[in-house]
Amino acid sequence: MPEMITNQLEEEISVRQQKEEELRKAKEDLEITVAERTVELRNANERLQLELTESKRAEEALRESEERYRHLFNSGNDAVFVFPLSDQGVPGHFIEVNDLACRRLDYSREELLQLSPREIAAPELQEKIPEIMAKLRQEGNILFEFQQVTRDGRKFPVEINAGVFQLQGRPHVLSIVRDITERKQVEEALRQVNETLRATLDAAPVAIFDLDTEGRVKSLWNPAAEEMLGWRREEVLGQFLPTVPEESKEEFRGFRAWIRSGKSIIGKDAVRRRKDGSLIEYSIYAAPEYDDDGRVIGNIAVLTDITARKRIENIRQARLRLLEFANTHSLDELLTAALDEIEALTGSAIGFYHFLEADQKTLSLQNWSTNTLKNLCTATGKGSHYNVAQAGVWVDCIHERRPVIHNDYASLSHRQGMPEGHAPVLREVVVPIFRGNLITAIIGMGNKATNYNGSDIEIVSRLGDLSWDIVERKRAEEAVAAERQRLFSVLEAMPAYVGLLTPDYQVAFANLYFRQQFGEPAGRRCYDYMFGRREPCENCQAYKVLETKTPEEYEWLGPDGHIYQICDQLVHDTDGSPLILEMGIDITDRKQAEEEIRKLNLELEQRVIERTAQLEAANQELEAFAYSVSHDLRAPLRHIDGFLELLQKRTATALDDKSRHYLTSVFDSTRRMGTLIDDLLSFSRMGRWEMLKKPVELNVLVQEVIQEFEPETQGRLIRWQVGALPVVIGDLAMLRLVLVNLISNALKFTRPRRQAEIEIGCLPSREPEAIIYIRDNGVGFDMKYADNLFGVFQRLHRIEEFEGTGIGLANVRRIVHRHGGRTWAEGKVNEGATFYFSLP
Amino acid sequence: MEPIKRILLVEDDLKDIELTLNALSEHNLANEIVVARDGVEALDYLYRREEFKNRPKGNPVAILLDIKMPRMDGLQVLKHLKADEQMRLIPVVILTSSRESRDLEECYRLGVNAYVVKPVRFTEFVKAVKEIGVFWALINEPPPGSI
Repeated sequence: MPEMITNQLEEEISVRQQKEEELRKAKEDLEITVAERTVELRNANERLQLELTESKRAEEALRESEERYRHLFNSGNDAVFVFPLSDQGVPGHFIEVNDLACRRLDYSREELLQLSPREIAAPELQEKIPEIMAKLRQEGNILFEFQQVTRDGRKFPVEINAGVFQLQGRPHVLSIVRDITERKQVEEALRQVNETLRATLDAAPVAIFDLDTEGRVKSLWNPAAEEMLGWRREEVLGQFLPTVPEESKEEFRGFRAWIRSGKSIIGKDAVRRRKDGSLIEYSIYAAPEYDDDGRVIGNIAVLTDITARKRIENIRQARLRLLEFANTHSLDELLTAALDEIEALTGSAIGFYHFLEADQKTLSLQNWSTNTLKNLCTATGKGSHYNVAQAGVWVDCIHERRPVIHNDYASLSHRQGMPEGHAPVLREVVVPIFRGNLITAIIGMGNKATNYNGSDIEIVSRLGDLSWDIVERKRAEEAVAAERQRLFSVLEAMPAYVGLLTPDYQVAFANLYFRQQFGEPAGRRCYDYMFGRREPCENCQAYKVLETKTPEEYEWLGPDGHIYQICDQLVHDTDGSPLILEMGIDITDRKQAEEEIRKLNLELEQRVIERTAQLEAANQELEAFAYSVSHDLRAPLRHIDGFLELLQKRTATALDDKSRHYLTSVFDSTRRMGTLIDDLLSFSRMGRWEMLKKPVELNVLVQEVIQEFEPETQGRLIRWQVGALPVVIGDLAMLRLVLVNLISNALKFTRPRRQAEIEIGCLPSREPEAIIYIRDNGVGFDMKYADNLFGVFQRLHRIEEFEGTGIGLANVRRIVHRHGGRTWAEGKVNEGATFYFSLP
Repeated sequence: MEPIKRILLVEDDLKDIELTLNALSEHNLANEIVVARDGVEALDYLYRREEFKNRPKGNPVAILLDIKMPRMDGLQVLKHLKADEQMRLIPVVILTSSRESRDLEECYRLGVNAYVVKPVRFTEFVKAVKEIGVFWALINEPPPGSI
């Protein structure tokens, strides 16, 4: 089209220029004719007029032609420029431009005609102009892309079709310029799409390739395909797809048929072989490719590596299995199972599980995988303890606090020799399990057929973490179970029945004692279980606690005939619901014992009453006796004495000496009898005297008593020696009698001494007992008779030697005993005596 | 002449009566003694009943009263007398062998005027009785209404 226009235009311009030239010549001729042939002018006027008319007609034709041409020139989508070319090939100012050129470059026609191609070229392209012009001159016609610039500097891409033509003998250039901004934009967009597609294919983490209908690789084999499948693009282009393993050939043929029928394959899992021979599972997507006629010419295939997905899935399933396993197996079994799972998932041949103590230094070897124990390792046992510092390279992960892989175990410089029986290690991965900042365990796997990598670490970490969770849970559960068992054993062993009752009378728990006593509850309600009743017991004390919320304690006669001390109290179940805790202690024996004691006490009381009555009777008898002694014995004595006196008066002169002696003897005996009776009565009174206890200063009392004896002892040489005596609690009158008796004795039995020495003192003694002694240098006594001294009417001397009835010391003992004290004596014949009494 | 001051001796034991009278006779007081052999007889005398219903009016200046007697003992007699407005002013001296505290306490509680234990020794007995007789029969001014 542009070429056609150019030719036409060229033709038109040429015609016009010829006409103009002709016109000019005609004018010249005319002027010459006018000047030279003025005369002829008039003659020729007519002819001239004709010629003028002719010329005007031609000019009109020309004008019309030009108009037509200009219309053509100004219409259309291309800007048109005409400019001359110098002999040196330099473009001159435009001599013709069309309206579109003006509009597009935002100049008026006049302005634009002042410019040359250089001024409307993009500045950076201006220097290319000579080169373009040279090529134009050489080739005569060129088509090239360029950039033009508007008056205000806006650049836009153009495609220029330029041709050289001769005008008036000089070369001119006709340049037809098309704005290709839109086309450029489309091209750029397309380029970007292609670029994106290419980058996508390059970067896609999935293998992408295309196949022809026969299954040959056509042209596409992206980097991921190279990486995942192992073959380079050059190796497979034009080749049959080499990744289909023998066992999958049939399936592959199926895929091809499917494709040929125009269907897509969406996410089929299939095993493919890498170049290194390893088999990997992929998920395959494929879509047919069509030619312009809609025939299937092949397909695009996308393979995604689902190893990771499978691994995660496998881990997930292993986790589920382990969790389930843990419910019904011991901790030990669980660890083995965890190791077996990890071993299977990582393709390892050995596995170990060590606990690391909180000190982060002590490892306890907890477990080996089944495989390891069966096939490879007999060296170690459970529960062995290692110091991390002395362990082999397998504890590097503890030092480094992260998973460690040794794929080249044999070349490790810091490895230690294996113990005998230990599995030979080719490569290993050891992963620490963390809880907070502490490593709680390490799990090791070894001897995978290929190198260990991050996937293995992931597997070991995930399942290791899980197993440790379970370890912790198990440990807690085992601790709880142990605690529970312990508590249960305690409950079972309790020599009391313990039961839990629900508000609806169910027996939630009954301990062994309970069951032994009342049988198995077997889901029966308590009233049925314990009493064989059909409804709850009236006034059941146990269920009161549900309302009162305060413990109830009572004694209860059970249906088994035993008496129980019951304690009911409200407790709450783990869900907060109320329960009654009933505890019953069999107190039958205690009750019987108590009953016996009560009976015995009653009997005893009865016996005491009886005995007291007997004693009172005896006492009354004694008193009656004493009374009668005092009356009845004294009366005859008095009579004897009286009548003897009267007899003596009457016969004073008639009797001889002998008779008088007899009378005197009768008198003496009578008097002695009287004294004996009086003493006996006083001794009897001593036992019945109502004591009035208060503090008694013994020193004061002793001085008083000594003074009382002064009249009797006048003329005697007596050396008193009285030590410091305590203040004691007692009956003053009775204690006075004690001192009177003892001092009187001392005085009596020292009578033969030229100088009597009487010492009264207090023995140093442990509180709260005070021991008082009275020592004399009198006639003393034989210790043989010491026991007799304190008996009633016991005497160690003849009455002629020392007077007395022998009641004194008996009274002393009786008084001291009544004060809760003791009496004793020491002495030796002729060497004095010491009498002691103690007072609490 | 002074009215005769009588002393009532209540005593069941003949030997004691004899010895008492013997003792009193040494001071010529024996004739003033009226003897009753037990409590019943003593009250008969005092209330002028039975065999004493004809005796002259007037209460004895003192009563010497033994405790242990048949029929009615000394304590009963004492209780009776001290409860009687007419009799309660008559001085009563217990003359007994008993030194029992319960007798002593009972007698004083009933309002006895004196309590004398008969000494075993006759000489002392004589002395005691004599002093009692002299005191009550001669020295003491009897309450109104005495013989």
